[in-house]
Amino acid sequence: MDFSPPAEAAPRGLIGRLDALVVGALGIAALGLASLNVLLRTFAPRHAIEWGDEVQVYLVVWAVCLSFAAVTAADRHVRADLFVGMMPGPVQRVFGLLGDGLGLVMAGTLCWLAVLVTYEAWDFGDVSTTTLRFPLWIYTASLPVGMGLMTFTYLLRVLARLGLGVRRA
Amino acid sequence: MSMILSLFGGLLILGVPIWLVMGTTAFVAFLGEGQALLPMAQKMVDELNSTTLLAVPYFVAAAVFMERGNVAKALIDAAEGWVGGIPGGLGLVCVASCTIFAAMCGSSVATAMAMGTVLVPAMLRAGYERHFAAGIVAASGTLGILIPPSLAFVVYGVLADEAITRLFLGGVIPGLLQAGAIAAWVVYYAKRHGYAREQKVEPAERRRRTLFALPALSVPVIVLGGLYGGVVTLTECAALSAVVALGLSVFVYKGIRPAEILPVMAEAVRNAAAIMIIIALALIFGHWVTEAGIATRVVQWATGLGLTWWQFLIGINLLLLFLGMFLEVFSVLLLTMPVLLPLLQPLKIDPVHFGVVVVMNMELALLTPPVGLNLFVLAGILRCPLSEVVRGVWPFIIIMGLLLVLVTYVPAIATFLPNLVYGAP
Repeated sequence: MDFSPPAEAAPRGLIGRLDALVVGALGIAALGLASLNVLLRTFAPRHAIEWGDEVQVYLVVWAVCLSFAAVTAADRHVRADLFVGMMPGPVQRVFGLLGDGLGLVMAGTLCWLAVLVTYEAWDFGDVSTTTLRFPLWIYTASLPVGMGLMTFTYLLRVLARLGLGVRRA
Repeated sequence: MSMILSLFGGLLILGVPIWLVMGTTAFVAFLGEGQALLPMAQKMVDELNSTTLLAVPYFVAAAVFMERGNVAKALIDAAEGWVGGIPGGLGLVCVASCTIFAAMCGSSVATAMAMGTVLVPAMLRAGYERHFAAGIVAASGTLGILIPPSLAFVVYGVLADEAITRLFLGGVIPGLLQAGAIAAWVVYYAKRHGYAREQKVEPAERRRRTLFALPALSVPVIVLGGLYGGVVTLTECAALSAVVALGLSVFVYKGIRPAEILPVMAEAVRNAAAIMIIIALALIFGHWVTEAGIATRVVQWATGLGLTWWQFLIGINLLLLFLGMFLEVFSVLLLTMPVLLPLLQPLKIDPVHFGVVVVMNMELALLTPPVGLNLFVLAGILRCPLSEVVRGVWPFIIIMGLLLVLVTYVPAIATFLPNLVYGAP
């Protein structure tokens, strides 16, 4: 796992800052909810939030899925690159294109499948089993959105590798 | 089957991201068996909908907050007051600080980075050889995943469906033994090479430093005390670690400004996202491994060999040591556990014992070239060639290897504490 400074990893520009704001806010909200629930359960058990864990999952999964694109853009996906690292530059570029192309196809396919899953959840009116009765399509939508953003990032990377005039993602 | 495994190995060698390796393999396998792909996406959504998995981003957040928040500096100052006057004092400060930091955050890389940034320059100024300084920090940093809380135990527990609280306890005695063994080597090496002793810290100054570090020192007590006292669940324990770490970093040690909270949190989520996407696809991959009967066949093959538990563990240690040389910790865990875990029951191996053995192997994976993350961290801090750091970690690899052998063949070292607290399974 990489713990390089935020400035190196974060996407730059307005979109990057907005992304950091949204993802950071979702993460902080989840932590806040977890802490509040512990306090309530310890000191005012009658007021404990029954759906606290459930909402934390939604907040964190949305934050995580929204981060997929940033992780891809910063080339921070975990990989075994020892063998590739020993290859000459042009071979490395071919392998890089192969990886990005595969990522484009896979993220795009997962995005499409996740759209279908989300549509099903919406169509069947699936709700959570707690008293919150939360519409589950709002949760499942995190995956198509995350995968969609990642697909777009992979597309930019592939285009950049092919030298089609798009700045490297 | 062989085509699928070749695809898996081929993509891995070509440097394709691990999540893509697992996803593509599972996709091709599902398609090859004429199964619909929609359940794969459904399973991914379902697997992520887990409160236990929340512990991963929360512990990562705690590690990032502590690393950025000057918490390490306070711990180091306090440890210097306690053990600085002994030969190899700064090295011992490093071991003690890493042990305490490991009890607050679950990541070895974060521990090595937080401690290395402050301690390596201090050790160099005190006349320590570069390779020795690098070796101490790299080896002590690995305690991050052995001493609870530990991200590696969380991931193993999710995969093995084993109580993570038991696993955490299983890591305590091996972790303390490792800290002791590293410390003993540091003292021996410092004496042998005539390292000058640090100036003793005056009692008043020692008290002041300890008081300043007290809020940080209270984190493991509060968080792990809450967990084992039954006050909080594992996920809440992870969340509290992060919240307390953030509070200390912003208000006490002032390493993070309020305006930086959201970007640093976003950075923590991104670190976690790189792991979570692998976990989600690894669970799908594991599902395929089970459905396709691979796990059953491996079990039949291994039991057909008539292996005893200790022979099996020799093989596992060698396999994990080899994989750990080329792959990162979570990749090794997520790639191998779906196949290896079904073997535990037929061979009557305690999953907690096995978990500790696996995590100790993963500690070695952080130190063994060519792909050892702690080596890269230290080479980055020292701005030196990797070979110099490797030279420094070899003695510690041997020490940790010997300890691994001990824990492998004396299971009680790992299982005593969990069995004492929760009873034998």
